[in-house]
Amino acid sequence: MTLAPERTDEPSIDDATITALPWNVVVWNDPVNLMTYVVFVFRKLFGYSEAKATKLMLQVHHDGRSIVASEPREQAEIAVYRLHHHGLWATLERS
Amino acid sequence: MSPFSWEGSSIRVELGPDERLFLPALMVLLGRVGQRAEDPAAERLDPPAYEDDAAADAEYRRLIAGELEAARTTDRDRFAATVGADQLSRDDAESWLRVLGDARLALAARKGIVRDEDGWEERIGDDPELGMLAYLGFLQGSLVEALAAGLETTA
Repeated sequence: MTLAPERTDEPSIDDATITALPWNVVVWNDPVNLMTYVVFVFRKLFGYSEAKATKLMLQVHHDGRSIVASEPREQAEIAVYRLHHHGLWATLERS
Repeated sequence: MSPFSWEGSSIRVELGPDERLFLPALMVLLGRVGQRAEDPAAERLDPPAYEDDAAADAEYRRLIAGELEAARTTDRDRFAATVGADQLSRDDAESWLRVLGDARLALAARKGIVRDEDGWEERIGDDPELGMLAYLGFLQGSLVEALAAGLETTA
C-alpha cells in the first residue's frame, strides 16, 4: 500500500507531543457484516490469532464496540483506512 | 455445498449461470453510490474517522479519500475481470469479499438497517431485497470460510 500522508503545517512542539500519544482504533457493531468476516479482517489486518480476533469480534457484537488496536496517530489512521476499505465501521479516539 | 474451495493455490468457483449473470449488477449498485443527495449507502461506506472532531475528520478525508477510492476501483476492476472465472487468485478472492461486503452494506443502509434490533433476518420472507442481502451474505460467508482456512496454512 502506498500511503504517504503529507502534513503541510510545521509541527510545533505541542503538536509533536500530541502526535506521539497512542490513539485507539475503535470498531463499532453493525447488523450486516458477518461475524466470520470480521474475525477474518482482524486476523488479516492486525495479524491476530483466531482466538484473539474472535474475542474482539464478540466484544464488538455484545458491547457495541471494541478497541482493536492502539497506535501512534499516523498508524492508527492507516488502520482505520484499511478497516473502512474492508467495510468495517471504525473510528479513532485518544487513548 | 460451498461454491468456493481451494484447488492448489487458487480458489475454485462453482456458481450457476444465473448467478454469473446476476453478479455484475453489484457493480451497477456500487457505481451509483453517492450519485444522489443524502445517500445512506455513501455515508455507511465512508463513515467519519473522527466522530467528534470535524476538523480532524476533514484533514483525514483529504489525505485518505483518493487512496480509498483507488483501492475500491482496484477491487471492482478485479471483480469485473473475474466474475465469469472458474479460478480466483487470493487477491481476486479478497476483492470479491470486499465487493460483496460493500454491496451488502449499501443495500442495508438504504433499507434503514443500522442496528441489530432492526432484525432484518426475520423479515426475509417479506421483502425480496432482504433475500438478496441474505444471498450475498451466503456468498461472502462461503468465501470467507475458504480464505480463513488459507490464513491458517500461511500464518
